[in-house]
Amino acid sequence: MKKIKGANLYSGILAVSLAILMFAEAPKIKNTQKLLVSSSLFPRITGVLALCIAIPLIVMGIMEIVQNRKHTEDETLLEQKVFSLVFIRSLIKPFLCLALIVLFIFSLGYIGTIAAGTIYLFLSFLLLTPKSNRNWPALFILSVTLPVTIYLLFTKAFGMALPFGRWMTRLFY
Amino acid sequence: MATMQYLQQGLLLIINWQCILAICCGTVIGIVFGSIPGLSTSLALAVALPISFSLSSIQAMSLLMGVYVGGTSGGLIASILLNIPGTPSAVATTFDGYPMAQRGEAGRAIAIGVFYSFIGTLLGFIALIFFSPLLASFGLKFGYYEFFGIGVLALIIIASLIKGGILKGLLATVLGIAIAMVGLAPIDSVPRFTFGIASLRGGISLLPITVGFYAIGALLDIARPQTDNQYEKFKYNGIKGLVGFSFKEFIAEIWNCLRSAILGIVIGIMPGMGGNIASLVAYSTAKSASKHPEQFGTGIMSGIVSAETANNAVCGGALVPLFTLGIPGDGAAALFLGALMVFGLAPGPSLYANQGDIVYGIYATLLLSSFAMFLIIRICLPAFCKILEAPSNILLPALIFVAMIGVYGNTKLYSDLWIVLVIGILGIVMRCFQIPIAPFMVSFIMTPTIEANLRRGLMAAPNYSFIDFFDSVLFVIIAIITAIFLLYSLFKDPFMAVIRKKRTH
Repeated sequence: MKKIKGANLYSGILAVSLAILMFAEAPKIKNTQKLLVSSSLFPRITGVLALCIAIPLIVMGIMEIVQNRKHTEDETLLEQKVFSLVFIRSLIKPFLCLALIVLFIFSLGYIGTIAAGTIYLFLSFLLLTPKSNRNWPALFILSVTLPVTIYLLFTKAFGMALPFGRWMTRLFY
Repeated sequence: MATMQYLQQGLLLIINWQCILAICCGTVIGIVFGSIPGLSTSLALAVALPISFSLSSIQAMSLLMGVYVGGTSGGLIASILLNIPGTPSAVATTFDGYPMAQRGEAGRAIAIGVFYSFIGTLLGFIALIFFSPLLASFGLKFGYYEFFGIGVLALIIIASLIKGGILKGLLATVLGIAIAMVGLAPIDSVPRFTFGIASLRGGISLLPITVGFYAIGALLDIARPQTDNQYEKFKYNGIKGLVGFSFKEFIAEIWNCLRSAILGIVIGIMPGMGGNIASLVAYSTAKSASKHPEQFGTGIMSGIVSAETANNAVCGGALVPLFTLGIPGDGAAALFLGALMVFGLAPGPSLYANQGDIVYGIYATLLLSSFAMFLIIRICLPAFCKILEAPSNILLPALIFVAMIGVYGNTKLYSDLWIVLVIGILGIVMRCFQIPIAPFMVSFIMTPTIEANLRRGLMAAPNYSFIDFFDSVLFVIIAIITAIFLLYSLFKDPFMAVIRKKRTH
């Protein structure tokens, strides 16, 4: 994974956000014992630690940005825009992969393991396989056989209950 | 002498075709479950448990021991070949195993891993046979203060040895602690950080974290255009001899192996600490003790040796308190305890007196299972490495699907699948910001132990004072080592280097 510019500064901001979350949530935790040994003790310690880590990270991040500014003055605005476009384009496929996983999880309860798995696998194969290598029938057969095999293996051999799907149950029973 | 006599009787009890077949079948089941990300050793034991009820007690124990050893070792296969830990205890194996696979040394890495898994189990077995009472009493000397100290030491060691400085390592540690705190707090079971979501009350388990970080991360990596089909570039180049390394290399790793085995056995004895903690602690210890710590993570033998020896040595260690005191060392050992009860074997000192031959028979199954595991993985090595030839655009979505189903099957909660997704995204953010994942994993695993022991320690101390922790000599020693690590790492950190540079200018 390529390091993004200002990683230290962003890490510091992440640490500050975490510290704020810890300090905001800690008082909401119900204390069944004295504060020194209560369930909110550890979140408070974590908040302090996060803050201690955040300060040097932010300082380091700002120092890096100041140093880099001298180097990047030579870069033209066009070069920066081209870089941004390439960067955004490189994110499309990963974003679609995540969207397919969301679709899979969301549809699992409605259409069941086999149908959700088939759709997820087929679309993922299509997305990740270069156009020149796409063998549609083979990809489809694989997308169907794998979920069926896994479903039968888990439910019949291992005795585990996997979602059959609310819509599928209505359709078949 | 009595020990050897019992061991002999135990061996005679299990050397028959039924027990050997049960061991082999169990080992195969364990390896299959262990090598598939999303399925765990505990799940394999839960699946094998009903099957074992139809067998005699010793045959059933043979089957379950095979599953236990096979499952613990099987995790290394996916760790090395795919950079996705098959089981949580194989997380540390990815650090050096996967870089070796990238260099075309996948076969060698697996052979090293499986050999040292065997050695780890063997040393765990020796400890179990000869030092059970001694180890049990040593393990019991560890109280709240010492458990807390050991936990913090492990966090500091792993955070300080990370490339890129201790600050990023500590940030990853704090993130891990924050995620581990979601759910019911230890001791008083007060809900924390659940944000009103009922399914978060049970907390976040390790399985979705592992799948999210490693499997989703790997999938998104191949989805980026510049790294298209990276797995296709790897080749299986075969290995030299039976184990893939020379006698000279074996001699060079002896101390690393012994130290990791001791750590694995001791951690195995401690209740609640399993192979995942043992392998990470052994890895960080090996790294800190090495003359070339910078080579760790680049694909060196020592990394695999420490991780695999330790996580398999836990098998023997976890059985020590189980048989001597009836306390399971980890989740898998807890299932073992259940099986023992079903067969009318109540663990404790009386078990040795009344059914010593069966106890030592079970111990002997550990030995035979490790042999079976070594032979099966070594024989099937070329077949496992065929995975490298599968195109990643097919392999990774299929693996994500199987892992997701495994995660769901484990708890039957849809929320765990969403957690996988969220953790996957967090993993991507962490990689972008150059925040290491290893300290996150260690702190996530260790936090419940650390927090519970800190709070119990404070409760036990007069006036809830932390100063009382220093009454324990063991805690003082651990605290000094921790402080040395922390100060040394802070001094070496890039932040301090920048400050020093500024001053000299």
